[in-house]
Amino acid sequence: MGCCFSTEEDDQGSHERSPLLPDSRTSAGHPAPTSSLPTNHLSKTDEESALNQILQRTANDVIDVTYVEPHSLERSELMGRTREYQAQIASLRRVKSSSAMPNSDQPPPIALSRELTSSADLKFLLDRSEATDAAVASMEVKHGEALVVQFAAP
Amino acid sequence: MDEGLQAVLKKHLHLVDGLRCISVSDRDGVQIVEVHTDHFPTGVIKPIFMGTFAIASEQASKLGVGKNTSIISYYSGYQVIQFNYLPFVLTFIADSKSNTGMLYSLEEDLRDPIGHLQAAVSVP
Repeated sequence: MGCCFSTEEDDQGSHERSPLLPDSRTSAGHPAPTSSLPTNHLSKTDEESALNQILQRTANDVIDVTYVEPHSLERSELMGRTREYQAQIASLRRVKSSSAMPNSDQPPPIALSRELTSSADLKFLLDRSEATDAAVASMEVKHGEALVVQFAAP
Repeated sequence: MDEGLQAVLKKHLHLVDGLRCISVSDRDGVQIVEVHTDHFPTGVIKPIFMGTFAIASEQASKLGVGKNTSIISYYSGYQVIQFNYLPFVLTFIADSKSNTGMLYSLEEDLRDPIGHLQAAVSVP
């Protein structure tokens, strides 16, 4: 068994090699101490948080093959989650079907008893269809140049 | 959506010779949608098997070569191709002699339907 570490650079500025105790003389981000007791307390907290950060990042980066064992779900939890998924998908199906094909899932008597399309709309649709059909039928291609070109003819 | 996705998966099931099962599950291997032919290895779609992909993929993503997107496992009888849509996992189970490239290309067609599923279904 072995452990692998990611070598990706962290752009947060702190990493394993960054000093845990800030150098008050050179670090611009940390002011020089004015009294010993509060500064010591502060630096201790900083040290702990930095250590925790390192620990957390290391734990995230370590490839632990012993961890590769899925936690087995209890049967009740498995069934519950399956039911939850089915319910979510079922609600989605209702929304989808109603938006994609409106009124298509209604009983035939209700769908058939709806108001008919008006004759004006029907005439408009027929006129437009005939006009489109005539336009497509009247389309023709005219050639502007010779269709057959002889290459290297003597 | 279920019927829609199921129909889409069923259509894709017959596109590649030897493809036995297409499954969408969550990271713990709980089935969400699944289509299969008459004969396929049922043990593969059990949560204990399917759940290993999420962990393996997460661990493999730490190798420093980017995020792991899929894992192909070959066995003497079957091949299992799993795609990382975490928290969802798309799985193809096919005969070992099936064309892996064709199977792999099926995933592109299924991105949109699974994207819709990701938007609609929340994983606990």
